Amino acid sequence: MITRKRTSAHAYLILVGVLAILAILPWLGILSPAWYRTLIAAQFLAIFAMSWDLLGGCTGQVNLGQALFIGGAAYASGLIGLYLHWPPLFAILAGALAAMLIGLLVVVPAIRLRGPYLALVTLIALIAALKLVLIYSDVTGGLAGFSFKPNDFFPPLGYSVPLKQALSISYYYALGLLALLGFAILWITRSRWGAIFEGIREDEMALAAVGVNPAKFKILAFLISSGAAGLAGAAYVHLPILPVVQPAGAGGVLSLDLSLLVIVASVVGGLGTIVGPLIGAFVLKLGEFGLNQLPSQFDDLKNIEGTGWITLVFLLLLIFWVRFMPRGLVPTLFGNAIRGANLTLLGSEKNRPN
Amino acid sequence: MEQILLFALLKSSLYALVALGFTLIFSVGGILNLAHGAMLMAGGYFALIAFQFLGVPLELAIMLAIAASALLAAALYWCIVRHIQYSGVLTLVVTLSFALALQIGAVIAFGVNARSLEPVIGGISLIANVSVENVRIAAFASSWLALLLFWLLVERTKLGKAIRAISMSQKGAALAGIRIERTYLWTWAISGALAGLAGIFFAYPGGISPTMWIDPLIISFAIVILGGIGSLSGSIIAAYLIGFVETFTFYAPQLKVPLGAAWVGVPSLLITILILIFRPRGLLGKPVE
Repeated sequence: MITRKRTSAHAYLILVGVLAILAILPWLGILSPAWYRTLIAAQFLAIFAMSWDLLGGCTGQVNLGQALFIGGAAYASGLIGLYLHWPPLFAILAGALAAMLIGLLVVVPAIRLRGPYLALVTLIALIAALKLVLIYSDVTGGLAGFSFKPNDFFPPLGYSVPLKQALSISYYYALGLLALLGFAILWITRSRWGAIFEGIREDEMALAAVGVNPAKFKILAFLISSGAAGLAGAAYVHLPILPVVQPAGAGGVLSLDLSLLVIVASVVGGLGTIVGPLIGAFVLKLGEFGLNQLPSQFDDLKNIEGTGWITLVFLLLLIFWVRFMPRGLVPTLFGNAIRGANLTLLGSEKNRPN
Repeated sequence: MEQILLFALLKSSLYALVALGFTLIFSVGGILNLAHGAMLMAGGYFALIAFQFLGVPLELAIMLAIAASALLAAALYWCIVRHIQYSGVLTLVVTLSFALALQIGAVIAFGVNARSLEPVIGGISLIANVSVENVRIAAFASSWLALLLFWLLVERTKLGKAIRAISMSQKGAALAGIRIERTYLWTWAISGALAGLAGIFFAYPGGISPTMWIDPLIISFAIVILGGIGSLSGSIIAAYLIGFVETFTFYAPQLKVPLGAAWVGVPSLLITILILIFRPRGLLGKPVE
């Protein structure tokens, strides 16, 4: 009998507002291809971050391996498309299923582990998957990745479409996916299931005492999170905006960088709020874009041997952001209307103030 | 076979040294310091700066590097981590960002390629008909010396008493008049010093590179979790388990097992997961309430 009335509509309003702005932007005719790429990347990061937040923020299962779900689905669907020539729609669904299967594998140890123990296991699983991709590089293309060009994506989109048009169509596909998964995740976290997920984060023992099986709902949370991340990850590699699917590095789908970026987006926006990670993803991607648009006299500072001052400034800003706004942007702005997660409950058991 | 066993022994002792500082911070405060690997890297680069650019003798350069790493770790704790250590996720994000920032700083200052650091002791010795570089034996000796000093510190000094008290109950320790944050600061400084020392040995033979922080971090993380929170002997056992499994994976082709250099890391990490499934608190950890 776990129910909780959540009457505040702020979260839905924020989601609808963001989606509306994104839907209108292309009609204004001011978006350059670089803007399109940034916004598409932000939309996908937003989906990844929201799916992570369902597990990490709401359920309190700190997962360092969200990239395992994303990359697993990307590789599964990409390789199916490449070798079996399945149509994209089925390949993407197969990718999402593969991600859920990986989620099931991860949840086996996760049922009994918590806090840093779980974080380690998810990290290890990600690293092991990356190593397997490298070991079987004759199939996966190894570190260099693989490129594939599905002949036709959903009807209007193919590789014969000119770039500008392909970008705007990809943009709307990403937006549609963001709307679908955004509403689904937000609705789930505000339903009875969401209350149980938060119960797992707050006190598993008490949850068991009122007759709910925490293990069952942990499995459910992992399945939803991995399924959503996998669906987006599989769709990501099928859009004609990504030339090569690579495992590691800055753009890698199986990289620790991606896992970290997803968590950072959630922390910046506000843990456990679902719309926080959405906002956080856009703050990160637009901030990165803005720093790269600095006047050209900063050009020599931007890129030094593959990385540069811009990233360094970005990381230092991030550290100070977390230091001075630990609750994240959305809970800080909206106060009690959107409650974030109780930060002391995420991670270590030792430092909890009693 | 003797060769594999000996190499495994030496490698494991280095792993124990790498993980020691991480264990200390984790056991006392439950804080995951994901910048630990970066402290190792910083130790290596500090030694490089002092030795190659300032022309300090090698022994002194190593001392300076250890001191500098300790200061860096203490500064990270006092300025940033102290304010957010109540939350595991925030600490994780901040310490990992700090590690990445150090990596980029190292790339800007020294370039992406690995720099080789003069070994502490040159030369080769013969042990049981196997030739071993002296620097590896030095790492083995330093590891056990550090463990011994560490044990003495925890068991025989006032600071050690405070550390043990906090690891049992933070509230109780505070009520007894122990200054929590100052004790934490000391543990971070000690951990940084140990990381600096480990970094100098870890830099051999691969050299010091901006991405060298990742492997030691994963190793320490796995060792601490596998050994169990707050158990020094558990960590040592875990370090030797992981070290032996990794060495056997590397030399498996000699024993006609279809593994090899490309597989290093996979079996040891999978064994870690397996053990955790059946024993969620690690090998010698206290039960989780």
